[in-house]
Amino acid sequence: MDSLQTFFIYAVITILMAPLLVVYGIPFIVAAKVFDHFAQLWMKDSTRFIASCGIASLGIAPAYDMYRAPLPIYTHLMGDDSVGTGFMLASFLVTWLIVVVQVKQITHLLHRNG
Amino acid sequence: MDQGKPLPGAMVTAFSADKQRRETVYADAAGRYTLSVDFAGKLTVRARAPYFKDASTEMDLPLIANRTQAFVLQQHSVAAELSESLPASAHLTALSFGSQSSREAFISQCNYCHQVGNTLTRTPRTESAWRDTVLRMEGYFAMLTNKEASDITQVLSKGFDGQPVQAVQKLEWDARIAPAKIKEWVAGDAMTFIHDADVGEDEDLYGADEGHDVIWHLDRKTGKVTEYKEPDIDLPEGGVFAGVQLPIGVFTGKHGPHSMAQAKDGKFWVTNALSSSITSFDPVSKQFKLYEMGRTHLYPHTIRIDKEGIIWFTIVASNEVGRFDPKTEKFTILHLPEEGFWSGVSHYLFPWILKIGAWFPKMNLHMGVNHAKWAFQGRSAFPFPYGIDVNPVDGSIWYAKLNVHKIGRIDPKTQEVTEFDTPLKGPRRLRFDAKGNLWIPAFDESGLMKFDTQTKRFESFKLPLLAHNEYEVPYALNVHPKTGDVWITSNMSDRIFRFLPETKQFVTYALPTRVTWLRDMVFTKDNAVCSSSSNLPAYGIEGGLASFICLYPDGEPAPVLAQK
Repeated sequence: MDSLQTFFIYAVITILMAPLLVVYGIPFIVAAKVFDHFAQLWMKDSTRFIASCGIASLGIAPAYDMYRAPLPIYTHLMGDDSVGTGFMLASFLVTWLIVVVQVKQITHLLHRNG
Repeated sequence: MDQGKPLPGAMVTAFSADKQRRETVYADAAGRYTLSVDFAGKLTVRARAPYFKDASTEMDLPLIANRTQAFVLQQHSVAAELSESLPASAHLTALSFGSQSSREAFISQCNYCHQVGNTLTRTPRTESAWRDTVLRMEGYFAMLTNKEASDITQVLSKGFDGQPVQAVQKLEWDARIAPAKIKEWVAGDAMTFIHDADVGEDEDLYGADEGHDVIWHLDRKTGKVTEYKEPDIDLPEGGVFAGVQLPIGVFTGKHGPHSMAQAKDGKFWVTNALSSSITSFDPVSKQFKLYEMGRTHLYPHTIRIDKEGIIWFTIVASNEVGRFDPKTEKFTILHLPEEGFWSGVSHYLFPWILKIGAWFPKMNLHMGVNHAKWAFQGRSAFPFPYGIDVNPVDGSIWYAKLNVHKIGRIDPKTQEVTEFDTPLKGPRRLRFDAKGNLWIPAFDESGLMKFDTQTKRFESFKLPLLAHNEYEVPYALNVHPKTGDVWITSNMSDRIFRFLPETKQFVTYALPTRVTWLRDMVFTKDNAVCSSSSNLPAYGIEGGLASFICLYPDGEPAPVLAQK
């Protein structure tokens, strides 16, 4: 029960702080857009989309401090904070999945609204 | 006496047999004292003076009796013992801050509601243990940036190393304190948190126990202490702040009664900090009546009543001042000027963060999303309107914004707000004198400020420190209605200051109980200045219990039972 509650509190904090994570991720999101533009010459659309989302996720995937406050993993690494490899991988994969789903939804909504 | 030489200013304290009452007088220039007490039985009498070891004796006294008791005090000869006897202010000199902003944050936030440097808080700890402590304090709303928290952690782990501190305090005898008497009445237990005390029309003292939803009543004549519990409310423990890990064992209530003021009809009005409400308490019928203002108005704080009977109170965490008319039972909430973008974020988003945080009781969700941290704002993200008072000359309402160093005026008719920057930082619980001058304690800078509301000019005074490298954290003050003297809490060195505006001199009264942390100061008709001793937690106070305290500067007439 305790661990479930802990999981949920991290989830809620992450949702509340998502806009800040996206702001911190802007350099990576820009890099993902640039990659997406140039990679269309040699990469299939679906593969390119997944790869671009992965690049953006590198800038967004969070690690948490002792207050449970999330900041992107890359900012922790730049600040010489240690982040466990397993945690980094898990955070990145979950973020990648969420970014893929979210971008697909946003794209769908944009297409539907003309 | 010190081996034949008198020790003027030495404190002689009689403890009642059950240790629930303490009465203290000072030795005069000749080292003589007269202590009259109205409790009998097996008493303990203790003599205490700075730089000397305590001496005490027990005596069995019938109610009507005289006893002569001399004390010979031995000077401390062991550095560690002398160091142990020094107040927190001396131990704080062991802390060496590399950054001025971190030092300011430490003074403002780490001394916010208790001493640091007393026996409880100066225990040597590893950096990791101090990190946990600082983290816990941040959970209790100490608002620090990550850099400030890290600096403070390091300074505490290095500074409090268990080594004795040097005693360099200068103590000067002031004959003006000789007639004074101090009375203390213990109330509650080690977890009691009597935030504020007020004196009633019946001349008894009443105290708001923020931790336990209790109003304490002290009959000053008999010494009897009675508690009255506030009615229950549909909120979890911790009230609106249920998601916050408040000090364990202390905050077991839902209302959090905080500050109190008595209206002309005899009813006390009390702010309930945790339930976003105010309550009336009738000291005759002992009945409470609750008025809720809406749970987005966070932490109603200091309360005062104007001449029209309108109740005014600050709402610290929402940057608001509340107005309540008891006749219509209607609230008007005034939103005070924002201090930039982030203070607006606090105002509009923080209530929702607390609501969401309450889904996770006592888990401190707010710390994970706190813009005081991620936006590098620290305490300035929350302006904290704190003390409030009514100008007796024109009826205007004045408040202090603690964290952004401002005072403000509210026109009671138009509700127009005008603010002024204070010359010293940390304006806390301010009060007016009869002429309409506003007196303001500067918590962050060991100071006292006077603001002339006519000329709009400030005058600043430095509090008398025990040593050049110490500091004080004056929390509250009050101006005596007859003498005009300003009585100020010291809170870091177990003293009370009395400022004489005519001569601009301070008179300093040492207090007999270590770790005395006083709040609102009130005056009785028999010329005592009273307060609650409410270091948080109470078990940090010498003796481990909170108390009511009254200082009679001219002594208290009573039958003489003990005499030298």
